[in-house]
Amino acid sequence: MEDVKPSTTSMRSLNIVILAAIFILAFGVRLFAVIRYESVIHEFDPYFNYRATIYLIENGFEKFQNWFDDRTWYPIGRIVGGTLFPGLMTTAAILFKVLNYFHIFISIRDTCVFLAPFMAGLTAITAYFFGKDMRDDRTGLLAALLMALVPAYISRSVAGSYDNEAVSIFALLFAYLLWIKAVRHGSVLLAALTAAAYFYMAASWGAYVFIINLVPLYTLVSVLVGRYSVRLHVAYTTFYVLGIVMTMQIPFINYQPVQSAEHLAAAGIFVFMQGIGVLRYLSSRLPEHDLRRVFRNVGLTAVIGFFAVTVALELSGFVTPWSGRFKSFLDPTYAKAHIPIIASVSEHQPTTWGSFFFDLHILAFLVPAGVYFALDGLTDTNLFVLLYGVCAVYFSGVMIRMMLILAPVSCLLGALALSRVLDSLTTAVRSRINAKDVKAVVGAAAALVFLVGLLVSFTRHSVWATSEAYSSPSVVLMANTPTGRVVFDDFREAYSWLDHNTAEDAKVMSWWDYGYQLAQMSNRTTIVDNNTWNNTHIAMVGRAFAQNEDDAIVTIRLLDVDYVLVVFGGLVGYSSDDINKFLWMVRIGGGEFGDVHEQDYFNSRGQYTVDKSVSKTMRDSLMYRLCFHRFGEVVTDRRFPGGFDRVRNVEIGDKDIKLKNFEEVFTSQHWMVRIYKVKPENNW
Amino acid sequence: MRVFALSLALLLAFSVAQKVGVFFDGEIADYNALISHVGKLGNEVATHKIGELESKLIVDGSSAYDTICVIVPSESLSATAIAALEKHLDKHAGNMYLAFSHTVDMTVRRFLFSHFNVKAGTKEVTAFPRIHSGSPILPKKIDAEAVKYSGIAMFPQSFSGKFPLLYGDEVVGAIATQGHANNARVVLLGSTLPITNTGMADSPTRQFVAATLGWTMGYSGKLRIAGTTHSRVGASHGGYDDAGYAAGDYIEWGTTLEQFIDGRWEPFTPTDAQVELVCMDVWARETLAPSNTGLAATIRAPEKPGVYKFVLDYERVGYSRLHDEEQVQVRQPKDSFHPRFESQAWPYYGSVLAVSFMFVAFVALYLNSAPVSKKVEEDKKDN
Repeated sequence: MEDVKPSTTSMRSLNIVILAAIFILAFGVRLFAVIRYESVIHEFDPYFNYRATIYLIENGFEKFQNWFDDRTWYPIGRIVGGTLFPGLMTTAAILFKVLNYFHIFISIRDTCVFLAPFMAGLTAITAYFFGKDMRDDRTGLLAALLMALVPAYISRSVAGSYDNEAVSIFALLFAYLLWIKAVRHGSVLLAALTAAAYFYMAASWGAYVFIINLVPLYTLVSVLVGRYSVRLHVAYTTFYVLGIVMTMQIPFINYQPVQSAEHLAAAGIFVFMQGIGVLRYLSSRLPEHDLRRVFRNVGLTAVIGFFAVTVALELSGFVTPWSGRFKSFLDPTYAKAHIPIIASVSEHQPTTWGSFFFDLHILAFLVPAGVYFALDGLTDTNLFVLLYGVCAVYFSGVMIRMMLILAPVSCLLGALALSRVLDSLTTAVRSRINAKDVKAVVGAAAALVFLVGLLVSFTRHSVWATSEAYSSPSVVLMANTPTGRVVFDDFREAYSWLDHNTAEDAKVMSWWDYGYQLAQMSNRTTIVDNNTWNNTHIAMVGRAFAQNEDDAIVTIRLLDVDYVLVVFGGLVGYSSDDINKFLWMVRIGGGEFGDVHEQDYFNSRGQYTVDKSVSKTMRDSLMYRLCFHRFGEVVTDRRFPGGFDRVRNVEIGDKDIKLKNFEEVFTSQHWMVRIYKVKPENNW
Repeated sequence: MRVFALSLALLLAFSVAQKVGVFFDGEIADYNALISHVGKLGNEVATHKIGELESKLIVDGSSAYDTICVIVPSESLSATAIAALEKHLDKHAGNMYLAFSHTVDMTVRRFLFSHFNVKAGTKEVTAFPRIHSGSPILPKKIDAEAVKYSGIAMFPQSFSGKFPLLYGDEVVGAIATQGHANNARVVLLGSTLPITNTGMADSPTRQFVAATLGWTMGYSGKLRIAGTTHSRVGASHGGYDDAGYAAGDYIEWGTTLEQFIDGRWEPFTPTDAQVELVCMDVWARETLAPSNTGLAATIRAPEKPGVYKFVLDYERVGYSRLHDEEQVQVRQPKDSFHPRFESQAWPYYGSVLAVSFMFVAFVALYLNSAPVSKKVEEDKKDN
């Protein structure tokens, strides 16, 4: 025993050192964007989060809660305090205040930029404890390592990716970890902490419904497979009651926990668990025949009553039906058929097999092995991880964004599989060495080398994917050319122009993708933005872009628009431009207003094109005219005359566009952003 | 005559000198009386041949004159000259006094008839049968039959109250338009006769020309908004801050309007002015009533939060158009709007406390009672 103690201590120390190294690795691998570009916020949504964080820090939480933003969604505005998940901003604000309190002076922007890598480090540590719970320390360390490097998670947690997912994956995993511990110990305190972690998750991301459905599912399955225990009862009851009450304190969630269909399963399981509890209590007090009678009469009545009440609540409208997003999970074709605005977002598309491999790499193959090993030694923790894995695999197949939910459980199952196999192999090597069985030793050692090679390959792939695929800030673009790297900083150039050259109360109309960036970087009023909360308002903008100039100007004047911004990639070959997004504008506009029809924008052969065969409706549309205005004068390719669009690879159909109501005031260096001023009405 | 002289003296004393350009066709000597009249009002007058309209009107991208007088008794105008006229009005808020005769060609006719809400008559007319008076353009009644006039007959295409200003029962003699966004003023005479020396020698005609030209140059019918205010009814500070109005608030909106009369800005209190609260559509519209500070109305903030505009749009024939917009936000009630504790809800608080207490008491009693297993055994013995 005297030999073991120092060994355990040194193992613990070694674990801490390895964990610290993993934390640094998780943080460091996410810094490509900062090193390559600068400390810059990425993409679109993070710009709103950044703006909200500044507001929170400058005005305090009370004003933040009551914040009515009159500079977005003009003129209807947005009740920001009641329509956002404040968890991310609050976390950054607290971190900022704490650091500054200790005289570690860091700007708000840097706090936001580095928050995601920091939280990724914490997620890796959480994964360690989860893995430890599943099997042992080594599984925990492997889980932490995989968590730190898995590309699916890196994609949403690189430096500058200041989005809800940055903190919520940590919150999700932490809540599950506490839940498992609460179930194992039957502790009210741990269950209350689980509810607190759930509250944090709910305050951070809409995917909190995943917790409030997975935990009841686990509880139900546990009961069905005969793993009911008082510990489970105590944990679930405490978690549910506290969790529901706590999440109702978030203004955005409001009464949803007791009214929406998404939360109904949890309520049902709560009632179910109380029923089980009552029956077990009665079974200790009543003779068996009475118990059966009670079970038959009361139990049946309760079940029928519950369903009757549920149906009545649904029909009466007290319980809100499933949201569109939730329905599209159950029926992947739902969004495309009914909610084009959801279907138009690239991250809401179904996941391809290539994506699974790209984002999970060897984990895609290790997960099935992990499932096998989890079933092999079924514990409360393993059962939970199994259910989590099954659900996450399904959801990630429906929507590419859900790969993020799948990533932690893949790491846990992958770590379990790796740890079991590594254990077997190392044991085999040791025992065979003692037995002097050279062949077996070589075989096991070769398998070990292969596994290590797989891990090295995983690491190389993760770092490569992070560097090449996930570290582009979107707002600044880079291209490799024979003469070296070219940086396209057109977006910031245009936003800066707006900031410096337009009236402070100027209203800028653009497609919703650029709303958050405009509001933050230009500090100008926008008509629609990435929040997409009001479909009609977005449809008005889509319709204006789809209409001809004379019709569009009516909407544009109604909205008091001063400037119109379009993104055009024809000069440099930037394919994510507004012409390529245009059909979504037509669809969304046409969905609300009957005077825009998608087929009118196709040529006589039914193709969507901008060349000479372009349809009259397309050629007259405001989007076409604003994008291709003066483009005929530009030679983009020596082999073709002026006006050759390098995205569509065609010569445009109208090279002599004269604008009546708009005046070009700014075009960025690479023509990626074009800004037009709305002319005042003529006097005559 | 004394009144006319007094008005002239006051105008000279208080009005700001304008740059007036006279673009004429024919002999300038025929219009000496007009030029002399404009000069006597204290303005700087320059004369140019009609052919110089394009080059002399817009210089270095801006209009060289505040008001121009264009006299075209017989010739046509080039398209570029017409474009220069449009630019003068649109971009530079320049006023125009146009006098054309019935001999102008189709280009000019198209210009006139597309921009003035009239259609051409088929015969030349020689007099106004009757002139509507009482507006700021013709404050005093003039004997219409006595005005020397011989030119195009124009009929209003539709009477919107915006375009025709002076018209007869059957024949339109002169059309004026105003009320553009930049308050530029345009008068179109269908005859050059009134502004010739012959016309100006005649008293009713001179009065008619002086009144319409004076109006074009902004000597009458000139209004302005001296200021607007708005505040929550009953608010002690009376101001409006970044927090905006809450849905359902009563807002008092007030304005002070003024009219330029005899060289002074006097209060102007019409009874037909309205203020609107607009968020794409009009959400509230109230008629302004006289108040201590001018005009005022009370509006209830709509229940729907949003960015609204108070819009005052006063547009009456003969007067400058008054247009004022001010953006305000109507936000949702704050989370502290409703009192946190309502004393009337004591049964609710009482029941919550009672249930909480009973729960704790039950748990305490339950935990202190005999163990379940013993109880069960006792129950079984009883059975």
